[in-house]
Amino acid sequence: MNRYAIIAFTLVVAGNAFVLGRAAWNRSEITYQLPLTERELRLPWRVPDENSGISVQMVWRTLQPGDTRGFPGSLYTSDAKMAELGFDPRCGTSFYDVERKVWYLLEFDGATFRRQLELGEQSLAREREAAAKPDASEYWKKSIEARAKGLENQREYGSRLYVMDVDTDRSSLERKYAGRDDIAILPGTLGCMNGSLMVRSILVDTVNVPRELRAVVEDLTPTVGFSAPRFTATIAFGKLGEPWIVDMEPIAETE
Amino acid sequence: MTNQETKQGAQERVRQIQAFRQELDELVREGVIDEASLGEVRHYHDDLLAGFKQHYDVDLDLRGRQLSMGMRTASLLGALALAASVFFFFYQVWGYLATTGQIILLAGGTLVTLGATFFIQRRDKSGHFTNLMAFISLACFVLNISMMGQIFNMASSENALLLWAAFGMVLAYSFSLRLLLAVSILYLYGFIAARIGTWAGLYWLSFGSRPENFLAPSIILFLVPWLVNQERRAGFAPLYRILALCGFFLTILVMANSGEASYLSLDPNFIEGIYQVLGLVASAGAIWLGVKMDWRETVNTGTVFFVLFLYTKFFDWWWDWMPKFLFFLIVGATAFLALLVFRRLRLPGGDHE
Repeated sequence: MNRYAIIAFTLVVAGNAFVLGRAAWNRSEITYQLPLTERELRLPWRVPDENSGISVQMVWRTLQPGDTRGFPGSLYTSDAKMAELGFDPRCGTSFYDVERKVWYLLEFDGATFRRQLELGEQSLAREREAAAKPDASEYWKKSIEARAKGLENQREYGSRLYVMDVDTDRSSLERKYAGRDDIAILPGTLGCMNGSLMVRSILVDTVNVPRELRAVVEDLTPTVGFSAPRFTATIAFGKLGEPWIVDMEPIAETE
Repeated sequence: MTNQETKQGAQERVRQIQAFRQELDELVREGVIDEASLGEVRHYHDDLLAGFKQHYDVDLDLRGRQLSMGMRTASLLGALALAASVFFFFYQVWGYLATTGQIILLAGGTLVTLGATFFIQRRDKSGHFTNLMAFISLACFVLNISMMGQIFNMASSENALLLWAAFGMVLAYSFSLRLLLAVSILYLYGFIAARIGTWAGLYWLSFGSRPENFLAPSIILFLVPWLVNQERRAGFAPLYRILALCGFFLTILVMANSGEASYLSLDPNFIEGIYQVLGLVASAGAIWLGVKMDWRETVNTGTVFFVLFLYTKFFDWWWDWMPKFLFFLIVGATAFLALLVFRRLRLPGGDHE
């Protein structure tokens, strides 16, 4: 065997060993574990004949002021915090704006989710009061009722997973939120749009469903809009913040 | 002098012999030399050609060269199609396999195709089948590492690009495969640019948003043929230089029009001006260096970009207000001027030694 062959075979073995070792290192300790449902885990559209793999995608949100709605993913922070994260208040106006790797704190079914519902209700109440005037149009009244329905759907079926905090340093988030079991600290990317910070991505928000659990979701079709969740999945996050599915159960349909 | 230890080197020697024989035929026809005196030379060349044919399956005539070109095209298309086939096959079955089975299929596929490449190479004098198999092996390795990342829900990393570049280069150097070298150089380009981006605080996939990340890899890759002897690999050194120059000048072209993409905290217009000047000076420098070192590809690449930089500037300066006939007259005049300069360089005693 010539030396090129030896180097090539070594690269293949070393590359695979590195990936397996990294996965083992990540999974050697569960740092966070969240009991999510289909509300937070969307089934992506797929073509089963061409791709037999199944995955679920985490649906996360950011707190939006109830009356301005804002862009999905916007993070409202002070200028000082923006500077700390490496952005200036004029950012987000150029095609060449950059994304930076950061750590996000995600909270599941906690105060942020409840605050979002509260803000929605307050905003709705203000609009209903304004629409009670005699000159309010029917179209306006109908749009308010549609928003009320949307808020109700959000309460019953929407994702309860919220990006609550961000930092460039993972350990500072860990110290700040030590002892909580409804959170996960995950790597992601942060960008900017029109002077406002934006959560661009959670680096790994798509989780592969292993063969032994695929029967739970195999026959389910992806849903559009809000509907009752059809499965639960316990997602664990390891030392590197990378997730895997620990358990998956169907939710029995109720009449 | 050609390196006859590789197929490309042997093919180049065949070309020289054929040209030499054509000239000899002319000289015989014109009565300058006598056919009888050439017997020994012709016999020596016949033996040499037979040896090249036997060892490297070189093309000895035009028809052979045309057929080889067809085989190279078929080999490339076949490699692309088979790589796609491997990709779609894995996607079709992986969901039904346990994690262990998935890993065995991925790593096993790479190892089997790699072994097959080295096995085929021993029997394939033409090199076309080796080329095809090596390309499939690289595709398997890319699929191997990227799918392992997907199976274990890993964040993507620029390090994978380095691994693929290293693997591709080992195969390219092992079998003297230029296509594989080009792919590997692009992986290496991506890795160095992404790594520079991360050093500057960017997420690695954002490396394209700061085009200056590509300047350093361009310079490094341009220097590779100087630092590492490529004489035994026909066509490798020009390939490094072409890709490095294209990367370098494209970066400058983007920066010359998008100053706000720079790392420098200066007025974008000023940055664009700097890059416009740099583009003209560097492309002229590439032409000079190419002429000096007898690097045809460097001259050609430098010329293309010099013209691009020049005409882009002409367009910026004059298109809006100048009568169109005058604009094209000036463009034509510059082409005329360029011809004069090149003619000067071609003259004996010019810079071209």
